[in-house]
Amino acid sequence: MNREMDGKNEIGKLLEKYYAGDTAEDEEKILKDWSESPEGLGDPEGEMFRELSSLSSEAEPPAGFERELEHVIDMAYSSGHGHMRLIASFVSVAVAAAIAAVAFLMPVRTVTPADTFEDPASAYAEAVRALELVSKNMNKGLVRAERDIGRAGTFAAGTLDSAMPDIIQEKENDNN
Amino acid sequence: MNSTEFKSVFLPLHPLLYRLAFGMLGSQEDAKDAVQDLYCKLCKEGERALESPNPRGYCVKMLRNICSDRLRSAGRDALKKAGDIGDARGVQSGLSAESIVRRREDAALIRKALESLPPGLREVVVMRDLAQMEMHEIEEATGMSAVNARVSLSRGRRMLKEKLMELTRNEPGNGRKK
Repeated sequence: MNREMDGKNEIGKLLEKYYAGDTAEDEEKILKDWSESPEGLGDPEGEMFRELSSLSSEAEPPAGFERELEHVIDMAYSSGHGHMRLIASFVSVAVAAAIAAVAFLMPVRTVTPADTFEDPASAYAEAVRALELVSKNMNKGLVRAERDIGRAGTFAAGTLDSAMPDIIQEKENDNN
Repeated sequence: MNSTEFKSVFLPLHPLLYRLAFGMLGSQEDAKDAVQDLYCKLCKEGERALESPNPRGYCVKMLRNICSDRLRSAGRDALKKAGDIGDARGVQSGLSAESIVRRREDAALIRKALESLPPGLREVVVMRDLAQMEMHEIEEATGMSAVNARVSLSRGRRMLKEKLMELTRNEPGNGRKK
């Protein structure tokens, strides 16, 4: 009687642990065995374990499934590798064709400046006009520069002439 | 990399992956499709999948996404269909016809109860109680912290129990032998 009570207490504690998510695998095995025992069969708590156990036995892979999977793997390998080879050859052909097309179709670039005048005579007249303008401006600058230089020269000469008698007198005094 | 190496790493994981897919999608056909889909994707990933330091966790994460996509695209019809008792499959040898029928009914009932759980809780319960994954694996696969994973598991289990009791009460006739 006491042993029976101890057993019930032990199962009760294990069930508490089970519902708290704390049981180890061996403790869950004890509960499963208990659920199949005469004590467990008469206990509503044992029902869930029995039902889980029923589902587990149904959840075993069917016979021949491993062979089916091997076949799946073999097929995937052969088709996968075949695909890779096919893709690689397609890609290489496509790249070669693209390079050839670009080389063949791309025009050789030569730099030719665009004309601004359609009539050569007017183009010539315009060129002459532009050169005359340059020449005129350059002459204007030279004339002005020449005039300024002349002025500077006159000023310098005048200054020397007025200062010269004083300089000569000073030198004579020094010699005496 | 060759297919032999790939098979040696990933094929031994298929029972766990199938159980997970079955728990999440609820039917044998959908679970098979999801796992096959996963292996196709793994093959496409090639070296990247093989170089993963934890292939088991890598596969569980990918399968989780595949199952979520399937559930999203099919709405909840997929699970409802699977929850139908008439859809229950799997014949256990060595059991009496009555036991087989009872087991099917039990399995269908718990699938219905699982279907009614919020997806996040259902996922954790399926990973732990159906696929027998360790808690650290669940944390890794779901991205949850240790505390969150434990709390989700606890809430999921409690909710599952309540739903089961509710479904059992509402069973037509409620005269199932135990």
